Amino acid sequence: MKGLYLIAGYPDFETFSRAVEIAEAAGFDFIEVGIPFSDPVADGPFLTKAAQEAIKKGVSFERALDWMRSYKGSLKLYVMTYANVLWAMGLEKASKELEKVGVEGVIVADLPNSEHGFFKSNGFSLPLISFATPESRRKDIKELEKVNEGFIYFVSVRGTTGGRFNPDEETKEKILHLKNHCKVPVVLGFGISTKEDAEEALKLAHGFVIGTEAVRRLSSGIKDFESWCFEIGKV
Amino acid sequence: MKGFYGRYGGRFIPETLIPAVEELEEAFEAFKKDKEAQRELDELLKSYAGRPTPITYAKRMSEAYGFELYLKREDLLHTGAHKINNTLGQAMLTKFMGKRRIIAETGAGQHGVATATAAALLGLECVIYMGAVDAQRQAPNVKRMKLLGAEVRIVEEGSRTLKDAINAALKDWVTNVKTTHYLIGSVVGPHPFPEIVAYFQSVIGREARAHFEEKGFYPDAVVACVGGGSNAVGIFRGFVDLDVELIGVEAGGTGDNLGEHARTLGLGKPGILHGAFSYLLYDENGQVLPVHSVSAGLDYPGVGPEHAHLKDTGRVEYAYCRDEDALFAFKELSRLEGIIPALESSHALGFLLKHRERFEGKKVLVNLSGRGDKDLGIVLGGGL
Repeated sequence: MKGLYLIAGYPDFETFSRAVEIAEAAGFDFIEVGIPFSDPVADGPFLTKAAQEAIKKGVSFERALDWMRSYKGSLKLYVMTYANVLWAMGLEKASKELEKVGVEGVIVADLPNSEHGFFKSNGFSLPLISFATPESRRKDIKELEKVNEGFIYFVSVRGTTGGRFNPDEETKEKILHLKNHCKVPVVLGFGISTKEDAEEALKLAHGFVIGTEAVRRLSSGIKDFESWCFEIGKV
Repeated sequence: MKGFYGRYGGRFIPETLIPAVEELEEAFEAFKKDKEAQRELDELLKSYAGRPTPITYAKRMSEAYGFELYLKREDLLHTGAHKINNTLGQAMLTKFMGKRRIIAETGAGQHGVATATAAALLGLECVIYMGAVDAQRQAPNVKRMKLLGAEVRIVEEGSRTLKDAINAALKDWVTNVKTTHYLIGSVVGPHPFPEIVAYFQSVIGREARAHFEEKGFYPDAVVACVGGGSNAVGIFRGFVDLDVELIGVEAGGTGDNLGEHARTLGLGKPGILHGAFSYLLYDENGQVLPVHSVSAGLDYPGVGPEHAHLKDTGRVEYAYCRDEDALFAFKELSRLEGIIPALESSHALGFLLKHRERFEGKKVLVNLSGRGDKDLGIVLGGGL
């Protein structure tokens, strides 16, 4: 499972659409459509700045939804955002709208597994992606083994997006354990940027997702993004 | 529900931080039961911070305005504000957990100074995040923090105020969670922070209540300013079960238009920011709105979840005070009582002066949460 995180409408909707087409051609399986939030506490400086630019240009839940409605490609779509963006739409309404445009599941960076109940009890019915981290304890891992929807998003570094992919031995063991004991795929995210990282990630888990590096490449030009994308896609 | 005040609160933070907040919750429960730790904290509050603080009857101001004004003198504490109650407690808690590094956000710089002070006292490494706008308008506190041995990191993201300092501190915490405690300065953030800060600040209300019980009467009303809301929760908790009016005063800024105020409870709606579901100022797309207050400590688009609950239940009335009325009260208390109040606390006073008819003949207790030396530049310079 190879995925890319891209901010909806960044740097503009035309380039973003083109990037999604390239990702499909390069062999990726899914796209995480980022809906930007003003205060993204899980994001490093690069994605924070990019999110702010996107908001300034008018990217919103509605605009992202319009794009997904018109999307004709075959990549699976996930949405990645922050809790207040969905809350502001109304959780029940947001969930229904996203389901209608074919979204498979939602990754909410500031919604830990233990607060999924808050979203569900307020009418959010789409799959909420569960997180594992280097800090996950035995009891967290036991819970993750029961997850039966979406995938497990393993946040492979302690820190924000755009860090370096270099999981320690203990973390690698946790990843491998989850890979062998979970009912759903385990996907690594945070810090993966190169072909080597991606290869390493695929040895440990079922898949990976790249965010910061993808957005960075795209912001420096579609050509650069395309060659990088095809290099990673071959992994 | 655990970790909630009514429907407000919770833990809306990245998964990586969940073990840390659970560890903190366990440590806090153990800390509360540890008699030796409690004794040590009481001793620090007494011999180091200067507790108990007195209650001053403001005679000249009362005569001039027609009410009986009592001031809870948190401005007399070491470092000049109520913030030290919480930082000493949480710094002890940090050592209790075996961590050696603390980080904190600061708006007006009072919490940063109080954190740096507690870190110096207990030998902890300390990093303070402060928005660039705040660092400029509260420059003396930046120097103070550095002198106390803290590293001050200036935040240039977003609105470059308190909100962005909290974002930066959360990002540091998620990166260094193994070694670091995030010493939050107000009753905000994920559970158990609002409860920890309220616990350490409730000493204000306990002392105030005991004072009035000794005098044989209670005040008719208790008034406190509300940014995140720690001094207000601290004093309200002493009176919440009594037939006493409780009034929280938010920063009214220059008006009710977008970006002119920080009236989170007055003009916001429930939303999710910085780990909690509470009232919040945000637009139709969920983006947090810019806020304004002449006071850096109140310049925040969120508020503690306990206040959100107290608003919905109607137990506390949430009012506001404009910049100009706070500045007027700042000067008035200085002139009439020889007490220079912090601009934050001046909002509680300014509300009272503006509504003097309503309080005519009444006994009113104001939490004078801090002193105003840090604000002279703003006040004498004509405001920001």
